[in-house]
Formats: sequence, C-alpha cells, structure tokens
Amino acid sequence: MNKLTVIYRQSLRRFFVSVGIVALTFAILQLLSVLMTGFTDGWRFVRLNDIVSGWFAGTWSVAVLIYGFLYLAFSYSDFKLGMQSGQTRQRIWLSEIASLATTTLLMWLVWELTAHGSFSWESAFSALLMIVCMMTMVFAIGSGFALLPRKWKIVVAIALPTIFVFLMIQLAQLMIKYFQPGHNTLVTLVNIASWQGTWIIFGLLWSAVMIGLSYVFTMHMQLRRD
Amino acid sequence: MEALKINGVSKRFGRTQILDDISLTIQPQTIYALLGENGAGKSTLLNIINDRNFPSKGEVVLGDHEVHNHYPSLQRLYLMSDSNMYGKRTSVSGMFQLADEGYGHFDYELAHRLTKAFGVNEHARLSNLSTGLTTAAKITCALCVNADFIFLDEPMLGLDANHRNRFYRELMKTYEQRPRTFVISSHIINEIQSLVEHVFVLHDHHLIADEDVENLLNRAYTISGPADAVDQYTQAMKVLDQQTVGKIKTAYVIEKLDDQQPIPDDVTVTHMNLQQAYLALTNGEDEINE
Repeated sequence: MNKLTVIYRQSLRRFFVSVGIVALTFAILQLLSVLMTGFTDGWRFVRLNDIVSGWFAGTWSVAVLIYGFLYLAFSYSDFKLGMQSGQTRQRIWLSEIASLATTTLLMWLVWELTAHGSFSWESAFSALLMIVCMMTMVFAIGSGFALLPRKWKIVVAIALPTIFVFLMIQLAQLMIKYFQPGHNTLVTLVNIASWQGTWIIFGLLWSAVMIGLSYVFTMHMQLRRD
Repeated sequence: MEALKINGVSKRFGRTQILDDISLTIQPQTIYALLGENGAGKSTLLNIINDRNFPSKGEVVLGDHEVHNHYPSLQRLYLMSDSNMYGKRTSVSGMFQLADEGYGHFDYELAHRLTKAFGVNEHARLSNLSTGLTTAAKITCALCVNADFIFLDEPMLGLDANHRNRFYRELMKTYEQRPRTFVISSHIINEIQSLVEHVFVLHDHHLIADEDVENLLNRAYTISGPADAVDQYTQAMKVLDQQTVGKIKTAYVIEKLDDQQPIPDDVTVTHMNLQQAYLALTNGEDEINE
C-alpha cells in the first residue's frame, strides 16, 4: 500500500480540497440566506437545525457531482503524475481504484449516517451498489477519454451519447414490432425485474465490466502530443 | 549494475515514421549526449525508454526485465522533460515531495542548496515560473532524485549562461559524489562536450552514431587548404561535408587517417569539436542521401 501513495494521496487530497471548497461556499451562501431571512422575516424564523441540514444537503449534493467529475476529468493527469513518479500503469490503476473505493465508502457512510428516516441494510446496500455502479462507469469513461486527444474527446463526447440514444430507439422499435410476449412471459419478466437479486447481479456485473474497461484503458495510456 | 538496452525500437505516429529500428545500450554510471535535429525523435525515444509511450516495434530491457510495466525497473529511471507532467497547482516543493514519495530518499539538502543557487522560490507554483526557472526547478529535482538512470530532455531550455554553467558544475559535482547515468538531450553541443563520455546521434529516424566522444573526436578531422590540394589529399576518404571560400576548401571527414599518406605542406589537418563532428555527420548524411 505504501507504494500506491503518490496517486492515492493526490486523488484524496483533490477530493477533500474540492469538498472543502463546496462546503465553504455553501456555508457562506447559507449565512447570507440566514441574514436575509433574519432581516426580512424576523429572526424568530431562523432555526439552527434548518441551517445545518440545509448546508449539509447542499454541500453533499454538489460534492457528489464534483466527486463524479474528478474521476471523469483527472485520469490523464494522474497517469502523467504516476509516470513522472516512476509508477507502472498497473500501479496507477490500482491507486485510482483504491482512492475510488475510499471516497465511495466515505460518501456512502456520510450519507447513511446523516440520512433522515429509518435505516435498513437493504436500502443502504442498494445505495452503495448504485454509487459503485455510477462511479465505476464514470471512472471507465474518464480512463477511456484519457486515451483521446482533445479534438477527439469532443467528437466522442457528442458521438457516443448519440449512438446510445439511436440504439435505444432502434431496440425499442424492434421490441414493439417483434416482441409480443404472452401473459406468463410478461409476468415472469416483471417478477425478474422486481426481484432485488436481479438488480444486485446486474449492478455487480456492470461494475465488474466497468472496472475491467478502466483497467484496459489505463494499460493503454500514453503520453499524448497535444 | 545492469545496462539499459534498447532493442530494435521503431515508432510511427500514424503514417509518420519517427524512429526506425533503433538499438543502443546505455551503461551504468556514464554521461551520454543524445543529439539530433528538431523532430529527429530524441524526445520520443526518451519517452519510450521511460515507458511513457509504446514503441511500434522493439523493446527496452533493463537487466533481465523489459521495462514496460515493470515497477523495479521504472523506479530506476527518471525523465525530466519540458512536458507538463504535474498538476497546475503543483509548487516546486510539491514537485520535490512527489519525487520523494515516488522514488524515496530524495536529497532535500541538495535541492534546497540548488534552488537557492538558481534563485527558484520553492513555494512558487511551477505554472507561475518563467521558462528558465521552471527548467531550473526541474533540473534540481532531476539531480536530487533517487534513480540510477536520469534522462534530461532539453535541460538547458530557457536557461541563461550563468544558470547553464551552474547546472554543468552541479551535474559534475553530483556525478562525482554519486556516479549514475545521465543522458542529456540537447542542441547546445559545444557546452556539453566536456561533460559527456559517449554520444548518440539520431538522424532521419536512424541512429547514425553510437560512440565514445573521445574515439569519435580522435578520428574527426577538418582538412583545409587550397581546393586542389584538399581534393587530392581526401581522394580516398569519405568526405562528409565541405565548404569552399574563394580558393580555400575545408573538408570534414570522420575516419582514421592513413599514417602512410603524407599531408601536403599547404594543407592543415585539425581535430573537430563535437558540434562540428555532429554537423558533419548529419549534413553529410543529407548530402549522401541527396
């Protein structure tokens, strides 16, 4: 683990700095909002509990977005830093996975500890799986983009979603045209879809594929000329 | 200690051939010069050696292991280049810290001394420094890092004469204290001639010279005098380059002179310096190809 530190530490530092900036920004905004409420509606409407929960909700929701963006945007920077520090591609990837796992667990823990309402292991696990699916996908996309020069990044960023939407429409049209299931088949399909195990298996498979893709992409990264 | 071997490395970027079947050996504890014109493929070769780029063909081997994705090998190689490998907010001291985390045992004492000597503020961000000071900071890092093979790609970029002189002195000082391999890729050939022991010359995608500087210069001659006399004297030699001013001709040859062949009285034979030898090798190649 000691040898994974360069990228791992850099990644965590970046994460905490980003979350810190978001938290500070929201604290200032929240303070301004409190002052405005106090002056216009009277100070009796200002409650500390609301202020803290509002600050936390705002910080957390933006932090989640930033957290995703970090793994989308910084794969190539991490690669360059790793190569300059005498790391192999494999170690760079392992460090990124380790930092992804740490930040994911941290975000999930904070969310679960501060979530309102009753706690259940089932929903907590579902939330974790959902975050893992999202983050591994973002990481795989980020690693894939790191292979492309700037110009091609823009082309692919536009082309890929277009292709995805086109394929989805085609698939939907084909299903409407050719797939007319009987009642029993439909019931079976609904049962499969509503069984939580299906989504867990799908989520785990999805994450495994994304992690595999990120590995392949990282192993093919090179210093670009742009 | 093991040598670093580059075996049959070729590199293409799309349809453009950058390197064609380059093979060379880099010995431990030796200072090398890597010379070549702009676009000759020096940086590409250094990037391939350091596993930053993949070769289209060939391999780089350190001891018994291919360098590609081999951690113990990569831990022994360090490349300083003008590429921006650090984050935008990285400071000079942050760069040192990263080198320490990556390679271990970073020589902070020397680093502090060098930054002071070069006038580099360690708290400044790399992105805020001038080209010369950025190079000075990177040089400092390269001289203090714990690696056995240190590759310096254009280490004099933007440095003034004073800073260049300081760099040469510090390089020799650190080399004497802890001998390790330095490969210096540069266009300022005259200034590094006294530092380097061996030279590699890349030209037209190929390695055209791989020789000890002393050996190369011992058989690199400038032959000048009246055109007829020079032509007659160099008749059996391979003249790499020549210049004629009025009736005086200067021919450049890199080969052992025949001791039996007397030198005419009006012909002067002198040894070339490294820059002249490099120009003769590269210009000569062009003329032969033409």
